[in-house]
Amino acid sequence: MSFATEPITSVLHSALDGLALRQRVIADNIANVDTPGFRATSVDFESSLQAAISDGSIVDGRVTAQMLPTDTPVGENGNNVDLRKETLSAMQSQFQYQMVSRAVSDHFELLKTVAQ
Amino acid sequence: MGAFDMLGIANTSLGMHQTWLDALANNIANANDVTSTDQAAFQTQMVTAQARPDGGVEVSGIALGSAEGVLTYSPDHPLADADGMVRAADVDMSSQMSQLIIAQRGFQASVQTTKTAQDVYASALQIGRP
Amino acid sequence: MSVSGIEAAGFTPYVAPQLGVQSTQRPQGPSGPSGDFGGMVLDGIERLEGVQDRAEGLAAQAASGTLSNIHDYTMAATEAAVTTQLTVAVRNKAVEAFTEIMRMQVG
Repeated sequence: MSFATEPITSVLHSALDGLALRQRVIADNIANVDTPGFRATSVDFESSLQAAISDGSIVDGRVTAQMLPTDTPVGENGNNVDLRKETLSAMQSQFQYQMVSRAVSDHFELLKTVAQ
Repeated sequence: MGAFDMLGIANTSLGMHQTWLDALANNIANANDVTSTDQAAFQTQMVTAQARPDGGVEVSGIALGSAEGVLTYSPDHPLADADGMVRAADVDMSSQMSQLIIAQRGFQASVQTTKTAQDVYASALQIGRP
Repeated sequence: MSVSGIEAAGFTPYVAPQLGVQSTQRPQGPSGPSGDFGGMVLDGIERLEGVQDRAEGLAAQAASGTLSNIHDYTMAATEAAVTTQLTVAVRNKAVEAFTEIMRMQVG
């Protein structure tokens, strides 16, 4: 009997991986807001995670996140970082991370309560 | 995610109000532009906004004011034509200033919405926590 | 004694089983669907599983970005945690009482 590979654990772990990567990428984008020629990137893990949940392949393990180029308009110096969009994403992913890590602690607290 | 719609909506408002403020600042800065009669006068920018179908607001277009300007008699001006006429920009300063105040209030209100959204999410995350 | 708060959470109060009458007469709990203690415990566990599954489903939604409200998940998680604690407490008390009774019979 293995608790570590329950499907819900893989789901939550994949989400945390994806969100951590997203926060790193956003910080990178914001740091390069004035760099000439810099193209912003974004992270998508939600679509592959939703697909893995609906077809059941999440039981095989975690889902990896993908990095995609962002299609915001390019400015005159070749830079396409939209500061407002990145700030919004930073706020949203922070709350999402807090929510998912709460879900992880709640899940293991539940197992601990039952195992008393 | 639908859970964070409030943040996204406030963000669209920040963007729209920022565009509006930029246009107003541009109009005010160019209020005293003078051009010769064979050129267009400075055209004021008027930002039009519309509601987005999935919530929030977006700039639907930036209309340009009249290129006629105000024909003024100013014979000593270097750009004056044979009749001593120049085109002055037709910017209604009082209208621009009052719009500036409205746009600023709108922007501040959306900043407040953003803060409120963050407080709301933090509270929701604390439910059931000792 | 009726503990209305616990009933609202879906548990029927504990009714002491009557020794020696199980074959002819089943003691009825005040509001439980099944009379004997074993049935009551099983009902409670089923309800608990439902509440836990709901919380888990919402957690998966939160992780995959399809949750509509944060409080949907946090309330379901709180409900699952409290229901689990109640079930564990009832189970522990029942085991305690049973062990006590068994000890009485032998002694």
